[in-house]
Amino acid sequence: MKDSIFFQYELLKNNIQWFIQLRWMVIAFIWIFCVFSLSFQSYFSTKFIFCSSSFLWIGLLLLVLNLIYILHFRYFVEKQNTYSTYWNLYTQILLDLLVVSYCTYLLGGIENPFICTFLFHVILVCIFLKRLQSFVFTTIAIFLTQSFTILEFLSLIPQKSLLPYKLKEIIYQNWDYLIFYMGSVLFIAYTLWHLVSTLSERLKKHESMLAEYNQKLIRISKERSQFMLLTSHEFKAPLAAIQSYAHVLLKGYQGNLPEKVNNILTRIYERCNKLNIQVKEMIQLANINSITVEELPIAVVSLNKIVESVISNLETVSSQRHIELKTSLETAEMKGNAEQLEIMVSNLIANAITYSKDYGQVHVFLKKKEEQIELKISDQGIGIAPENLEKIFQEHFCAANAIEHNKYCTGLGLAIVKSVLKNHNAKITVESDLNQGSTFTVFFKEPQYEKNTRG
Amino acid sequence: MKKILVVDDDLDIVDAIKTVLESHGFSVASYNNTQDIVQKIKKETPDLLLLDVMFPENSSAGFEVARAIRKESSLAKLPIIIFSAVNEKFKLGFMKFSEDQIDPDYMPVNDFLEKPIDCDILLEKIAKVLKN
Repeated sequence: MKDSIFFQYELLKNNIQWFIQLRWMVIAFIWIFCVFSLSFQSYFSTKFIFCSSSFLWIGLLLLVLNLIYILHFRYFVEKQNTYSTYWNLYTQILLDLLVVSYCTYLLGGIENPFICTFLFHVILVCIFLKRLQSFVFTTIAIFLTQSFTILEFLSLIPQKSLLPYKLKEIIYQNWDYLIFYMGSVLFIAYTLWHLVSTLSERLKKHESMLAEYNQKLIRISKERSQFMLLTSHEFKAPLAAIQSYAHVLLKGYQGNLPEKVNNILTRIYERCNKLNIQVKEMIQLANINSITVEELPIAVVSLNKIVESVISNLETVSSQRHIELKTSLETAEMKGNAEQLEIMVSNLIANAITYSKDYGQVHVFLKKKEEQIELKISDQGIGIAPENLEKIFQEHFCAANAIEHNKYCTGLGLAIVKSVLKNHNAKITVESDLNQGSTFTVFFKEPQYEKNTRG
Repeated sequence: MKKILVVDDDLDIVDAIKTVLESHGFSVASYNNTQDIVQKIKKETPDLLLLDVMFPENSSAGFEVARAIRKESSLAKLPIIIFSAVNEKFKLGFMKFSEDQIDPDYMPVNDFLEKPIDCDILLEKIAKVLKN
């Protein structure tokens, strides 16, 4: 509910800005019209020239009003004040209607189809406001435009006419025509109001239903991930107990074990290890997916420091297999979630080490070019078959050569990488030759999360 | 003899920890829920607390206990090692459960241990925390 109010408020703000933009166009159009008619004044009748000089002033008036609207928008509307937002919108609509009515009067009123211009306002009002509000504004619009006609008719204001004949005087002597004319205006305006406002209400209803549905989907997906998280934890707890006991036995805390028992216990421990990694990665993935980008705590993080700490954690593993880790790291600060980024970097570099051959090399490059950060990790390992390149980011996918090389393959590591990158609006590319090695390149683009910067 | 207090709802984990620590000359006491735990800790006066995070009564009870302990002036300096089956690197999981908007980096504990209990790491961390 709160979201939908905020959504409506944002929509209202956008509309106000759009109205201001439209008005600039109208001002430009009016002045072009004035310049045009004044520069060719010898070809036009005197009535028309008078008219265009008034329009110069109207253009100026609209300009001043537009500046006021902009200032009001900056200092009141932007500060989340709903009342002032509505006041800004209502004032714009009302003053525009007044200006349009006056222009209609100047341009001959009843004798010129320009009188239909107020219908544009009726349409806009019907789209942006509620049915009752738009009805009120439609009535005001009719009243304002037609009041000029009535005042002219009663000779309370001078009759403006663009035509060389005394057409107005003839029309205004004809009561029947005037009644038909007024009746038609009322009919057209209210029918238009009815059609547009009904359709617009329906669309709005549909839109809010979609928004609600979307919220529901987000909630369900969150609940699902929470459930997943708790379930995974339920798996991990007994597993942790089994493994803890196994380790206590293996370490000889209950006396020395016969060799066969020791071997079986080692296998139990290893199988638990694999299951443990799998469950851990499932928890990580559920966690990463259960938090939306908007909720993700974001701070300025130094990617080079994350890469350095990941590498120092992995040095023991790589040196055991005589794999050389070569780095070329530039300073690269970015906005992101440090924990998720660390998991992502750790998965990519650990993969490069895992799937390297002994005595191989792993290169890690980090470059910052203007707005873009590039993290490149390449190995000389077992590589990825071309037909598997598409599948490696799918959950639970393990290529045949990967399973052969790594008994702990869970097929979740790259799925986690993908989720983290999605949260950080980043891209990844993979180049690989079977038995030659793979290169994973991550591209981060700045700026990100301007609205959600914390810390 | 150093006294270590273990608070975990999983009796098997408590048993495994006890086996290891007692054979290394520690005296070990344990509780399997967090009810009135701060008062109980005050009475026990342990040298170190091993504390689980997730309890059936509350999925982030361990953190709450740790915060409550730090508020007690007499226990403010008690070394705490918190442990959980969830990876240390992923504290976010706890924060969301607790609906508690405290900075996720805020963990009023001295160290973190990941389950399953690795005997060597357990002893190493206890030695390190007690030394400080």
